[in-house]
Formats: sequence, C-alpha cells, structure tokens
Amino acid sequence: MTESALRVAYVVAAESDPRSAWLTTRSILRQDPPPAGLVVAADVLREHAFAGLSEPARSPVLVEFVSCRVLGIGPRYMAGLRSIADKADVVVLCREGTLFRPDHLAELAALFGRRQELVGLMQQAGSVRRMTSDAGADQNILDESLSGAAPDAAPRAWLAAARRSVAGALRSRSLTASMLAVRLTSFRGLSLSEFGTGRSDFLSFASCLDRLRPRGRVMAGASAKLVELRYGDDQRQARRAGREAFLSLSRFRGEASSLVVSAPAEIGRLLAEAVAAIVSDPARRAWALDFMRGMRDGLREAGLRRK
Amino acid sequence: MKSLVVFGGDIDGRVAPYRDPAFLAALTGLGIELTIVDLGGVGDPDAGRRCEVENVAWTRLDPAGWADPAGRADPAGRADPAGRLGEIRRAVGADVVLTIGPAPALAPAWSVRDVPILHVVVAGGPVMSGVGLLDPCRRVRPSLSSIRGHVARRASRRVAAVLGSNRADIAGHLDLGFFPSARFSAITGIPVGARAELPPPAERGSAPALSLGYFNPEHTPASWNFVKAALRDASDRGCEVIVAPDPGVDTGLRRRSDRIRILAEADASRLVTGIDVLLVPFADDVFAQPIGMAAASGRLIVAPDFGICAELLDYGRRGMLFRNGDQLDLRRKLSDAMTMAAGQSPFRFDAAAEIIAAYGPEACAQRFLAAHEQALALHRAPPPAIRSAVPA
Repeated sequence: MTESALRVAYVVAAESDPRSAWLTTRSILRQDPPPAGLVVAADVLREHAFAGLSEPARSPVLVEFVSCRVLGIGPRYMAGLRSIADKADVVVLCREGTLFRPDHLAELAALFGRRQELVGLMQQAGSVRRMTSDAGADQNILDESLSGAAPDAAPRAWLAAARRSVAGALRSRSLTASMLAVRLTSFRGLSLSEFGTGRSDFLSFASCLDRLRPRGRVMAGASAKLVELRYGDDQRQARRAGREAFLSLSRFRGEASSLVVSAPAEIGRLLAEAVAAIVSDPARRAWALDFMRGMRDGLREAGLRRK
Repeated sequence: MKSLVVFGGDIDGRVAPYRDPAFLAALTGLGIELTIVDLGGVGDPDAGRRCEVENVAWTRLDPAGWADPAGRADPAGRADPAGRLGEIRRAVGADVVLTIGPAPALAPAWSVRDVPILHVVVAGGPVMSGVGLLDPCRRVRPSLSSIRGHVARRASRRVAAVLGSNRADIAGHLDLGFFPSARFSAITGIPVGARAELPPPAERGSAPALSLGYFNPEHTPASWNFVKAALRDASDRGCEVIVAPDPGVDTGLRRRSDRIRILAEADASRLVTGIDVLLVPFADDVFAQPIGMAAASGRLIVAPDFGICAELLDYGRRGMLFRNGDQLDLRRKLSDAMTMAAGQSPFRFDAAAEIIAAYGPEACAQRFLAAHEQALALHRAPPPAIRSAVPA
C-alpha cells in the first residue's frame, strides 16, 4: 500500500486531567493531513470529566468518545482500537499529556508506507514542556510547545544540542511519555499487557513490540515530533512514582524477555536522572530525593514478596 | 518496461512459485518484458525449458565456467558472473534487475550498475544463522556460512528495494544488516496458484473417518520429532494420517497403527486431494503452495503463527495457528482442528476467495508491477539537494 493510501488514526487514553486530554486532542487535530479518526477512551467512572472533548473543532475529524467499563489503561486502549479498527490501517496509541507536532502524522504515514515490513513503532517524547501555574492559556501552551523552539536557551547552539542529547540519554524511558503505532492487519489476536508507571506506557508498549516482533519489523526510539507535558506540582507524587517505577520494572523483568528494554539498565537510568536532578537543579532536589526514597520502598517491597 | 529477472538458489523449493508460468504470463500481460537468467546454484537445469512462457527469454548461466545455454564458453574467457550479467542487461536493455532467491546465491547479481535492483527475499537459508564474521555477543564464529553471509551483506548495499512474501522474512534480513540502502520495501505476496480446482472434502456419514495430511518436502529428523506426537494423537483418535514424503526416520508410528499412509513423493496437490486437515510444521515459503491449495478447496489448515503461514491465514482468521516451535500447542490445536473437521464446521468459508484474490498470480503480478514502477521513479528522480554549509 502506498503512503498516500494509508489511513492513520489516534487513540488517546484519558485518565484524570481534562486539560491535558484537551491539549493532546487539539494537537492531533492540527495534523496535516488530518487523521482518519480520533478516539478518546476513558473509564466509565471518569466519563463525565471528559464530556467537553468531543465539542466541534475546526477540523474535518470528529472526536469520538469511548467509555470503558473495565478499569485499567490496557482495556481503554483496546476499546479505542476496536472502535476505530474499520477506519484505519495504522493506529497510534498514547496517553493524555502527549503533544504531537503538526507533521507527525505525515512522517508516520510515509514511514509505514515506505517500510511495509514495519508492524510496530514506539516513540518517546524528545522534549518535555513543564506546566507551571503561570503557563498561560491553553492555546498559548499548545502554540509554544509545538513551535519547535529549543526548550532551553544556551549561549551556543552546540552547547544546547549537547545538553539535550545528554539529557535525552540519561532520561529514564519508563517515565517519559511514549506512543505506539501499530499496523492493524498485523495486530490481530494481540492485546496490551499493563506495566504502566502512572505517566508512561513505555514498558507496556515494549512488551507489545516483543510480541509483534515475530510478525514483522519493530522500531523504537526518541522523536522530536513528540512533546510531553509535565505539571510542576507532580513532586507530591514523587515517592509513589519511584515505588511504582521500581515495582513495574521488576515485574516486567519477570514476565517478559524484552528485546527493546533492559530492566537493570532502566533502573540505572532512573537513578541517574534523579542524581542529575539533585546535582543540577535545586528546585527539583526534593522531588528527586522523594523519588529515590520511593524506589527504595519498591526494593524493600519486592524483597518482602520474594520471602 | 524491461526487467531482467535473476533466479538463484534452490528453484524446487522457495523460488518455484515465482517461476509459475501463470505468474510470469501475468507479468508479461501487464507490460513487463521479461528476460530470465538462472544463476549458479539452481537445482534443476531443465527447469527453464519446462517453464517456457510466451515472450519470455530464458538464459542459464552454468556455475561451471559460466557458459551460456548453448554450451559455449564465455567468449571473454572470464568466470565472472557479474560481468556476464552486466552484458546481458545491456544486450536486452533492461530497466530494472529483479533478483529472487537466497541472498548468498545472488550476491554476484547485485553488482550490476546503472539500473535499480529489486530483491525478493525468501525464508530461511544459511545466511540467517550469523550476523557478522565474528560476533562474540551472539557466539558466532567464522565459518563458510558466515563468510558467505558477510559477502552477501556487503553486496546487498546496491539493492534499491526489498520485496517479499511476508513481513517477518524481510524484517529478519534487515535486522541482520542486509539491504541498508534500500529505499522502500513492499509485501508482494507469493503466487500460490490457488484456483479452487480440487474437490471439496467428502460428505461424512455417521462414523467419521477423518484424514490428516502432513506435508514437509524438506524433512529432517528434528522436524519429524516435532510433529511425531501430534500425528500419533491423530492416529490414536482413529484418523487416517497421510505423510508426504516418507520420513524414513521413525517407524514406530507406522507399526503402532495401520492408519498411516505414506506418499512416495512430496506432491502437494496429490496430498491435499484426499485429506480433511492439512498440517504444516514450520513457517517457510515452501508451504505457501499447499496452504493455498488446501484453503482454496475448503480444507482446514493447522500452521505456525509466523511468517508466510500467519499472513496467508490472516493471523488465525482463515486457519488454526499454533505457537511457532511449541510442540504442546501444536498437539492442542491439531486436536481442536480435528474436532472441528469432524463437525464439518470449516474455519472460514470465504477463505478460498480471499486467498485467490490476494495471492493469485494476477494479484501478485500487480504488486510486482507497482514495485517496479516505484523503483524506477525513485531511480529517475533527481537526487535530493545538498544543503550548503556556507550561509548565503
């Protein structure tokens, strides 16, 4: 199938923040060419919070809303996939809070059209946009995040690029927003396992890629076309996030023989990111310390379970 | 459009479907002028003569001295397949070179210059065993196979596009470092020749006597050990088991039951005619033909969930899939299939029409034509502009 004939649709798993979900859907509706469909999937208990998402936008694409009676992120993705399966050839799965630059769809369609053996592609956000209390109106946030401007101003361009590449290498992938694009004809009979850490589905998507691998080629990597939104006040959750990250990585190592991610390397990356935050950013010191304490809690809990 | 088609490797197995006269006729019918060259390594020297198609020129480059089909030695006195292929290409004025076969056998053909080269990958082959000449991480030691693989990998840099019957085989080659400069890849399918000409399974009376066909033309002791228990289960359930060809390794199964019939030859059409369920042990292009014939005539198929088998059976919608290499799962799925066949509940009624539509000679030829046109368009397009490092 040629790239022009490929139909690409998006499934957004909404969790708890209508503002993030709104920004994500609006970034998808800005794609040129427009997507073949856009589905927002939410738990039936939180359905009311996302009622405003399907309001008409200046786009030919209708935002479809799906509520899922089974709790969990995996069932939400599968409900979205089922609702859009007959409209698309390639489906992109992501959580709320992931922003797509306007040429993301065109690039994805070209890649899947040119590489017909490609069955799955996972991308992590190449940059992070911090949401603070003075972030301004949503429309401005969207414009600024998607404009492609360098997130940090450095005196020299090469210094900024080096800083970004070091930060990208050290950034833990299991805490960075990810998206999974699958070719639907090759996805038949599969489902998503859940290894989530609250903010990212990296481990779940990696496990899915492992199961897709016998069916064709899979690829993974960071993409500059993706931007992750992070709220400034998430350090209240740092300890819990550290514990969940450690436990899900332990479980992932036990249940899957991953070709995409190595759990020990990822734990090392999590620690490196926390140490880097402590050293370089005094404002995030409390967050990083709490996160490391959470990881220690996870380690103890895993030890107790083994006993 | 003129295409120089180069066959290499074993024509009786994985390459044979692409030499099907119906497929070649469909290609010429779409306006592709074919000149076919059999490279060294081709098993049957008379295959070209037997597959003669109108308006298709055949040439055989003999591996011993690269003599031409008339038996004359190379006039230039060279044992240089690449040079001979280049001469043939210039003589026929081919716009595209299409190579079909295992990578090591076709490495000489990839040195042809000035035209885009398309390669059709086939399953397996010795090249898949090693990644590099010496790869300590994967415990690969230098061997003849790995050296041939390395040479082929270096030569494959000239290939402009990769075609194949299924995604898994193309991905396997790319993951091993083949075809790094390929600008696109396409799933062209494999012409399975399914024409629904076989009779449907016979109506059963009150006492069903099912028959199970096991097809494996490339029999090995390992493959026999893999399916032995499943065949024994079927035999114990009162099913007639037809094996093609004679395994000749384990006669215990034959002694235990008189319901084992062994065909002297691995003839897919003869096997499929008399069975209700077809068992395919591994995912390989050699099984595409029997699967197509069995599906076209309404037989149930049990095959691994990998490669060409999974794609022909649409990931389980047109047949029963077991986990590739899982003996226990094979026994379970075969048992389910026999129960289903006894109840005369075919897996999917329109599988025949779907497979013929997707893998018939005409459908495959259309996809080959599209790949030819895309490769030519990319070849003729101007190269991308190089951005100047100096600001204007």
